[in-house]
Amino acid sequence: MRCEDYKKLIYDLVDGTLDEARASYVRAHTDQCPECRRQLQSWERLRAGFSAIPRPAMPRSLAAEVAYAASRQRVPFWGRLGSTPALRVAAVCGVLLLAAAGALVIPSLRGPGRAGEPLSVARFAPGAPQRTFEEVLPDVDVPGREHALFARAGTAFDRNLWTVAVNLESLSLLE
Amino acid sequence: MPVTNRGLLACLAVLGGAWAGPARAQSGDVYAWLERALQAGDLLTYRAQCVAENHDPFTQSAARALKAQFVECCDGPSGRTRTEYMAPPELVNTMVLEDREFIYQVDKKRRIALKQSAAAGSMLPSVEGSRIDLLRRNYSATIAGTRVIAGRECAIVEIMPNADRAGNPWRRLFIDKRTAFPLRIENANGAGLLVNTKAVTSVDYAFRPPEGFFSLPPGTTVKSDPVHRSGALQADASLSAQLGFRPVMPQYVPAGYVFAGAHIIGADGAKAVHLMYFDGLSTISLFEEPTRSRGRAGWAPGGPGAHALSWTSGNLSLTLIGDILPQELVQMRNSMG
Repeated sequence: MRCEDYKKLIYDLVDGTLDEARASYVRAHTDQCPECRRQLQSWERLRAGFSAIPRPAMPRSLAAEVAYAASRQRVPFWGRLGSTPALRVAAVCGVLLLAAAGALVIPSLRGPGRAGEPLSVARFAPGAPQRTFEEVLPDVDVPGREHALFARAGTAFDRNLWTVAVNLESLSLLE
Repeated sequence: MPVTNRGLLACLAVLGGAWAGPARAQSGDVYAWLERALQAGDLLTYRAQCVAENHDPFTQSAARALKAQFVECCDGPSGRTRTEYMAPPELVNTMVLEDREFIYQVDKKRRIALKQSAAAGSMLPSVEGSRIDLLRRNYSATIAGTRVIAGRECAIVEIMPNADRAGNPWRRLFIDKRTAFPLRIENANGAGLLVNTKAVTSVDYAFRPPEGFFSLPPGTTVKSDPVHRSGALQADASLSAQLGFRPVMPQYVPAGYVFAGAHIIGADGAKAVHLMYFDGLSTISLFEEPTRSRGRAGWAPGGPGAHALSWTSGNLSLTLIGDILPQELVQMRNSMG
């Protein structure tokens, strides 16, 4: 195996999801390969340091967004397939970093309905109340699926990759 | 693609088939390679075993990365394809039949098919026919060598974003020298990480589909896609009139992207607009939907190598999806007031 192949397994080694034989195999390689060892140490530091990270106060609007996002039951298929402890550690660290830097770096990435926000961006026609796609198709990531259709039309090269995305996201519509 | 061009393209394909180009073509030839590669699926008849993998460490754990294995049979001149999956497990019973108008996703076991509009021709109304020009404008393509893939000699074509567009994905194509069919595709994200690949492991250009090969299995029940799409629209007053609200357009669009058109999508009382941006290779989608309450908010994976950013503003719920750097999506979002 090449280093690239070992690097793919390092995430799972840190996750603790490799069986003993494969874990030993990867460790034997990282003992000898400085670059892969650095990668392993980096991930181990990330995992070990996670619990020690001081948690900055999260801006209220961002906290609400994160809480709302976490409460959502439906996750795009690629999110479901990729949900692992290492990914979650990385995601939570990312959120904490965002929380720490958010107000400075992306000050306008805030929640909706902030005081004084003009409503002039949208003007609704009077009439029957409109339903949302989440209400109508709760098990389908409609934007994700529509984007996948668009992307597959855009570049014939990437057609297969996006077709798989469309097919997976459409599965629940066959139920 | 206009039918009148098909004969010409078919001739080019035949000529291309007879031409085994030099191992290192002149740089001026590379866009011709790409143009032929883009059209290969419309011209060739083949049966290919393929593997598509998503390696993106930010959306997939490597060991659990999405890996799709499938056999794709294509009759280019008639525009029909049939794809059967061996992996992932969710798609093992799935067969996909496509023509130029519709995609039928068939559950072979239960004999149910979902009929979706392919809409490929109308997805990019403003840039249809000028894709290769956009590609030339925004990316530099070079021939980086040759390699044998699936027993076929391929030219390696690297497509890199121009210097002012760092942060856009790049691609590497391994193009069959005799047919212009890309037998391997590698996509890297704006940070230079390989995020997904598609590889043909064997290909048979002598494949001739038997009668009825692209037809639905007998006794299949067809369900229609609950999501309907309008024809191609421009972002003008008529779009607002049809939507019942005025869509918000971003003041900032990443370098190289152009507005490619809009669709109204609807399903059982829900309505949204899909605004599309394209740079010749990559796509950015912006969805806007009226919402009575708080919509989704935050980041999510947006598909192979892509990110999705959702937020609400006023009475609109908005989602941006693209395979560019996340900060570019944030900048677009911030330009929308």
